[in-house]
Amino acid sequence: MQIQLEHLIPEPLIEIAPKTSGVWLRQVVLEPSQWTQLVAPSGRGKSTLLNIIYGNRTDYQGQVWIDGKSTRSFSADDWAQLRRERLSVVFQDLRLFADLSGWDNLLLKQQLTETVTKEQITEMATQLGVLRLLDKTCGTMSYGERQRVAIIRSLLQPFEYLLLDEPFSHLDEANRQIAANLIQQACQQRKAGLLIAGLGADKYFTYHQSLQLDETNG
Amino acid sequence: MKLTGKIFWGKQSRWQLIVATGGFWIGLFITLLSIQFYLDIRKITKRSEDEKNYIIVNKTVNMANMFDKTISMFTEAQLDSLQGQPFVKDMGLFRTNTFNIYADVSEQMGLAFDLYMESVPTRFLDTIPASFEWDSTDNFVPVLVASDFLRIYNFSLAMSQKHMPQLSPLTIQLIPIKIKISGNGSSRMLTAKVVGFTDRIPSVLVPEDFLLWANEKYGNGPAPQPTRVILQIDDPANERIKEYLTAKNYDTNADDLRLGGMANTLQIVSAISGSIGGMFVFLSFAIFLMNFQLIISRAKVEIGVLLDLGYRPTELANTLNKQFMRILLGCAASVIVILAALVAVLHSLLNSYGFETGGTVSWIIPMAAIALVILLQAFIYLGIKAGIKR
Repeated sequence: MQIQLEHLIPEPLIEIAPKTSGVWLRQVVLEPSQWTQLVAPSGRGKSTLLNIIYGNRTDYQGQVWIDGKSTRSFSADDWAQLRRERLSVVFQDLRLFADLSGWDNLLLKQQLTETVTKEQITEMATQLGVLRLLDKTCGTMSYGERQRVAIIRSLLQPFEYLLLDEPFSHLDEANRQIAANLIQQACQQRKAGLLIAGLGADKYFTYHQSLQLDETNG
Repeated sequence: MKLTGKIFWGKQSRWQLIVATGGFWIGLFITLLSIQFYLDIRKITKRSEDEKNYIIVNKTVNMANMFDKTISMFTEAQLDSLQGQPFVKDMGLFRTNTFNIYADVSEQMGLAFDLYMESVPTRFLDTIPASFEWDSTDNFVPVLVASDFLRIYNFSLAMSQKHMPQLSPLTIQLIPIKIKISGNGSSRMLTAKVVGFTDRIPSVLVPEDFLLWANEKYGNGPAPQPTRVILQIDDPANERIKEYLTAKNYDTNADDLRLGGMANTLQIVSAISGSIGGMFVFLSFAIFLMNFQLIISRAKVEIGVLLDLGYRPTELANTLNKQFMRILLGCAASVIVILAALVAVLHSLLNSYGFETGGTVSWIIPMAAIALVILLQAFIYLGIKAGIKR
């Protein structure tokens, strides 16, 4: 999957975005299977960018092209198809159902395509140390625990691109390493591209390119 | 899709759903009950309307009749003239017994009495029980009695005589009446039973073929000319009927409007209960829809997350729709069952007061329930569609 950003700028940022941004109002190409790091301090529009690519926001100028098609032309069913089979995401706010157990949250994703077996889910949860927590409702978990559940959930489907928004912010060093390994394996298996938004450069992945949302800081 | 159900019917939505469902249930119940009432009452009123098209005509009795009973008989010429009137659609003759009848219910009621019997052609009867048929090889005679007679017996005679019990219409039909008919030099014992009640004809009626046969065999002399005729008329409001009857010095029972008056009261009651029911339905629908909107708007975040996960909007809409449909159909089914039971009880009560309504819920009731469910479901479907669209 190739994602192209053409002169993209979110409407709320039109007045305040720096002219020197590496993304806004430029031509940016995320090639298939390419791993990209997106660096910016908070409040500069990282999450906005991911939401635009994922189709949740339409308040922007410019174009987003996925495999040469403008995402503005996608129907609701097109997006559903894309999110099931080609594009996966971990949002900063995780978007888990607080009233459902960890298992139910994972199964909601798993049952859509059944690309991953329950045994494989158990294996991932064991590695990340959340297996015992999965019977609790997500509302009673700590943020770090929820983050790990959300990461597992993002890997329960086929995808050609994985979008991660500060996925490790509440994990300790050991868990960051384990999570990074799981993500890396999953992406390599699927020959998928990766776009990770973070506050600064990280050492967990080998990136093909690094984008600065806000050059003045970099 | 069971998991998605868990999301929408979480703790906070459950209470709303119960209130909404309860409101809908009550509203539906009252609406359907009002419709059933309306149908029943219309049936009764229609009967009383029909009733007004039948009048019984006889000659006026005056002093002269005391000396010569034949004065009250209609001559052939008078009958032809009556039948020839433009307002008469059909005419039936009353025949009466020319033999002696002695009835004996002393075993059951300590009563024995002389009796008379009359007949009219079957097409003039308002109630024709299946057992109202005479078989010449059998000793059984079915009898239709005017409802008024039973009332007179129950509320006047039985009340004033200690040894006479009050009798329900059902009990009286169980009592075999020993009858001795005699005349023309011979006699015969028969068993008679009351098989039904008539509001139209104030008499004791037996099948016409029985009376013809018995008059022939046991009659004391030739059958006399009829003293009463029953007419089916085109329009009870027709002034010419009254003019004709007065000119001929004939008398009629046409003022009997007992049922009509009752039915009018009932109609007003049903109109009131109908409009209250209508308001209830409107309110309960409003409550249901408002609660439902609340459920949807609360679920908006959840719907958003499900869409993020890759669930199709149509899929989600269908799931929600199905769940609401199940609730509505469950309500409708249980309302109909309970209504059927209630109506059966009410009808037996009405029937015991002499209103024939039939015993069951009208087929219109389930139809109306389905129509209401479809209407509400249509609103819900639109609400869900609007709720899921972003």
